[in-house]
Amino acid sequence: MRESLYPVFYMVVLSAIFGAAVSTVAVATRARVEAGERARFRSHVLASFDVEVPEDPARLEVVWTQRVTEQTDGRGPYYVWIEDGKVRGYAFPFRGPGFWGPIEGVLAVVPSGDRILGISFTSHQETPGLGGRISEPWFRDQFRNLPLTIRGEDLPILDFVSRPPSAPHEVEAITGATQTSTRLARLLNRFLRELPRRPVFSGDAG
Amino acid sequence: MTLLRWMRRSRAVSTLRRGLWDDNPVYRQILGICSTLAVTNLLVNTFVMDLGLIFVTAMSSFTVSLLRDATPKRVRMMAQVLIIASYVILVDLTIKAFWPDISEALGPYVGLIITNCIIMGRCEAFAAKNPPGLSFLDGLGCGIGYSFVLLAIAFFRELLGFGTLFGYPVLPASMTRWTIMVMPPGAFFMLALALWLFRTIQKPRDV
Repeated sequence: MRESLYPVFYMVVLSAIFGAAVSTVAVATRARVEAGERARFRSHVLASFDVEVPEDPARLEVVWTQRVTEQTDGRGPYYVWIEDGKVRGYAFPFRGPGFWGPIEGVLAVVPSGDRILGISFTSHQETPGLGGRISEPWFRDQFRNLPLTIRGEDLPILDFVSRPPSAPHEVEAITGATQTSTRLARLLNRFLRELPRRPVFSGDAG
Repeated sequence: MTLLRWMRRSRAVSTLRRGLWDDNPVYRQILGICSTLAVTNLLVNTFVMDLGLIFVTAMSSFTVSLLRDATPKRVRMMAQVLIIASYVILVDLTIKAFWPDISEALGPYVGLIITNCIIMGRCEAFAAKNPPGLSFLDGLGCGIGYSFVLLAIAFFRELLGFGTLFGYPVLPASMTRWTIMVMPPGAFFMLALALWLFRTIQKPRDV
């Protein structure tokens, strides 16, 4: 009886010890981790507004509280950039299926909703160096000042092309990352079609 | 005793050398192949994975060895997985807390360290039957052995696939990039070449 119980007892004790050790470290670092994640998300929102993002977390906090307020409408949170008493832009979080996993990000538009201010990706699992290049500045900078017009029912708002863009609604995709580019195009176009219906633009109660 | 003779006779040094060269986990034991294929398209990813793996393998082997007499045979693998997972979580939490930018870029790879069969392979094959000091060195040696093979592979994959090393452009933009080097087939080819190369350099052995 004792011989068959000892392994169980041993595993319970071992699990308790290692579980306690890991939990202690998790609790001890939780505040730092959450602060870090919050700072990172805020830096993405600021990047989408094309506001310079300070490296120092304390400065980031100051810039954020001075310029951005978080609001919610029926569809979720969004961020308002106010400078000198005027609304300069809105940033909306988006999420959709990428190639290896969900792609999440923030897209900022001018107050009238007809131009993109910028985009930033908060999380994705695309291949580093291929699909992962969506996070790189050259790719994201393409979205600045792109017009948001519904050109037609069947036409995408943004066209991802495999050459340098030759029209205002075109974006150059990433060579070798066809799947990521295709899925990003699909999710962004779907998101952009829904955007005019957000209460800040449509005036509804949401 | 001369230093060289001590080095040849010392168990500590031979343990370390076996993990590094004679019984290298990647090209001799053929362990840790999944991560070898996954992370070696970029040198910086490889480097972080290497540091994480060296730490976890050495510490897990050390801990498993400390507990080897107390652990009943029937639950030894459960205990090993528990120990390895705990260390991996510690590494993950530490990176998230103190280097959030690195964590954002490489988070998934850190969590995957636990799936690396080198760690459990060494715990089972060595640490379960050897004293803690030697087990630590075995883990360290295997970790470093794994690291240098991966860095060698990553060097060529990143250079040919992106034209960069650690993100810094090295090759002129006019040279066509071998995108296949960045993708899994390229990884397989490079790994096979590495295996062939290192085994040819080593003295011939049975397997």
